[in-house]
Amino acid sequence: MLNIPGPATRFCDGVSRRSFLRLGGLAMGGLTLPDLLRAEQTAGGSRSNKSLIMVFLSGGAPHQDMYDIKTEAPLEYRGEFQPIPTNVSGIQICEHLPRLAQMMDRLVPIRSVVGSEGRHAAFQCLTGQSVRSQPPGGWPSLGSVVSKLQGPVDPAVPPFVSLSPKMKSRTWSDPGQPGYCGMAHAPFTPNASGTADLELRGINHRTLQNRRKLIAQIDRLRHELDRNDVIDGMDTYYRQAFGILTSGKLMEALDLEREDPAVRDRYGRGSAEPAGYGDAGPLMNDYLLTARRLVEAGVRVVSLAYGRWDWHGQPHGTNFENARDHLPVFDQGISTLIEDLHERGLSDDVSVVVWGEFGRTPKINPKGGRDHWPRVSSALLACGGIRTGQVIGSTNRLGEHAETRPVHFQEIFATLYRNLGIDVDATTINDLTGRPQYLVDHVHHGPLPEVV
Amino acid sequence: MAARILHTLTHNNAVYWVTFSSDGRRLASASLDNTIKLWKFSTGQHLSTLRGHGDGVCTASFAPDGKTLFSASLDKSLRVWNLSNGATERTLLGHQNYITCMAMSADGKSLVSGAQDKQVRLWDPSTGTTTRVLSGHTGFVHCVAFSPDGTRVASGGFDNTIRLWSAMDGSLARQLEGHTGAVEGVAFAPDGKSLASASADGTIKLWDVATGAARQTLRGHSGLVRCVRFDHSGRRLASGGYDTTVKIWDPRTGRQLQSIRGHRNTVYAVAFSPDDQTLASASFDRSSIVWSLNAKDPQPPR
Repeated sequence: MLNIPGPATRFCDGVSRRSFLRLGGLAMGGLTLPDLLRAEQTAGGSRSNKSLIMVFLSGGAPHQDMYDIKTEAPLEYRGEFQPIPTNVSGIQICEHLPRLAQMMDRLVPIRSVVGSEGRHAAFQCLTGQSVRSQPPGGWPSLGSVVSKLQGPVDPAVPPFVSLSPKMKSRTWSDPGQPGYCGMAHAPFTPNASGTADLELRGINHRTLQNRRKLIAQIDRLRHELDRNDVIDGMDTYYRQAFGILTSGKLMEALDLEREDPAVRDRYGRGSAEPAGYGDAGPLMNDYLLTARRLVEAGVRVVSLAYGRWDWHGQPHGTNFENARDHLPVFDQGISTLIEDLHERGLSDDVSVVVWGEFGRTPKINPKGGRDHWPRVSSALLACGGIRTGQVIGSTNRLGEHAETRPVHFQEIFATLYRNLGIDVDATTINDLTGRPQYLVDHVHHGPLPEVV
Repeated sequence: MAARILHTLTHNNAVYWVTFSSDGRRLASASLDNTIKLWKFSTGQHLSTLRGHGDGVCTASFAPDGKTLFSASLDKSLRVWNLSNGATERTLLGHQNYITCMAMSADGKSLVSGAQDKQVRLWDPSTGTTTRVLSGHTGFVHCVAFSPDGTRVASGGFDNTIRLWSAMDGSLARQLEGHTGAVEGVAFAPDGKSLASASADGTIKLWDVATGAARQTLRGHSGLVRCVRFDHSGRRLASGGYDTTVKIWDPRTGRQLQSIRGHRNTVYAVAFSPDDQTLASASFDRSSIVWSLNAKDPQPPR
């Protein structure tokens, strides 16, 4: 038995962090690795199987060309797209989103998202916070928070996975920082770092277990020397990695060759190449299917960057040429994902949010583009047990600002946390100074009453 | 007469340009994915990809000998490629903003480029040097063309004008006005006497080069017309634009002969094969389509 010095943190069930580490020592003496990880789960997390798929539209999608066509605006504002009716009376969206239009009863477009900090970055969509004023350790991504609070559903599957690939722009390829939740809660990033290091090459299960024991002994020594959070986090990484290696469940979920080709076709496949000119997400519908497979396998939060929506105009194509390029692929992928979740009986358990960092300028610029517009943007919510078939909010005639029901980023975060079974009024996580931090500014921003 | 699709050639992003080699055996397509792809005309087989530009490639031209290819990119450079090994032989620098267009003289000894720095530049590709800088446009330059005899250059752009320049001394010979929107494409007729222009105002105009008079205005596209090109006989004119169609016109009468549908986004470029039996079009829909213009498919050169 290894005795760990230092203060103990007591969890709500009375099991201390120190007790947990002692259990870790016992594991090497007889308990299996899954036993160990289950013990951790019991100590620190809930058994909720709620999950979230977050699609980040890298670059900022044009709110007025998707869910909020400004038919009353002059041509230089309105652009070329026409609205089409949806299967919900009174709601119209862009003509290039016909599949989504026909499932509007399962959707909630929000036309009045406010509070963007105006940075070209995934940060706010991943954390709900501004990058400018971060507490010690940094704001954690929603996936890291969920990992911290709820732990893994399955010890062989990480709770937080980012499918965003490497891009030129790091702020768009950002998979989500763990912040003060610690490195143990950083996302797995198979498309950014590859999966080669998750494959067993010439190592059998028994050899691996022996190595696991050796590393465990080294780790015990290291814990005595240095108990800072990063080392602790890396220990969790090792344990997760061994679980993943010995189970293969994550790799199976990531391997679309195991999927029915007809299902891949239905999603629309797509290209793994970054859309646009290499600095943004790929227009890759396969990743939407992968996200569904991952939540089925037990991942709690899957995030991915999708497409390049930063359409400033020529010579990189006008806003409308790029929209005509992206929207049909987007329409197919997102509508199939939502349909698939419903068909598989996952629609109450898996929330979907689709959004970007800001909206686009109401007036079309001389190059046929729309520039950055943090004053208002849009988001699409689906599934997760919310009340759908409604639009929330509106913008003025020119699409310049929220006219009714401005919805702050943090209200959407509060809704997502609520869908995941986390009460933002009651839940805090300590930052690195030990100060408890609420997940959102819960005094001002709660779950959207329209949908919960 | 219906056009028939022979090949669909794809890129990972919008295709801005497509052109045939002078022997008609190969095509080159240039894309916003930063690459140029070479294709075998007879089969549509992808032969190779030229990588090196740091931004979208807006134009490419095979040199007359077929061994060299010239390209222009939004990365503010032109490149001279050795097609035997796919290497860049020379990089031509000088423009201070996005290059949007390039054309090659018929003998392959001169290049002309236009850019968002409002300049038109003449180049000697054998040395990589700028030989003339033609200044005068008051907006972005969108299109350039060499006259068939290489003595004149036409340029058009955001200031709605077309300018005819002497390629010999760089002097401005004439300024053509009449379009009410940006000039997006220009092309000389094979005899050098006529010039066609495509505009954001939705029209194509045919101009008398000697007098500068607009002879005809062709209407039929809905929305911006992006590109225009004569066939080698001068009896047909092809255009493409925002309405996703390729249209074929009789430049003598101004009559529309064909409207070809198949693309799903703006058509950025059109090119006739050397025998005029085939047309290639490049589109923002990430593809270039090779069309047979005859009821009986052409026999591709072997």
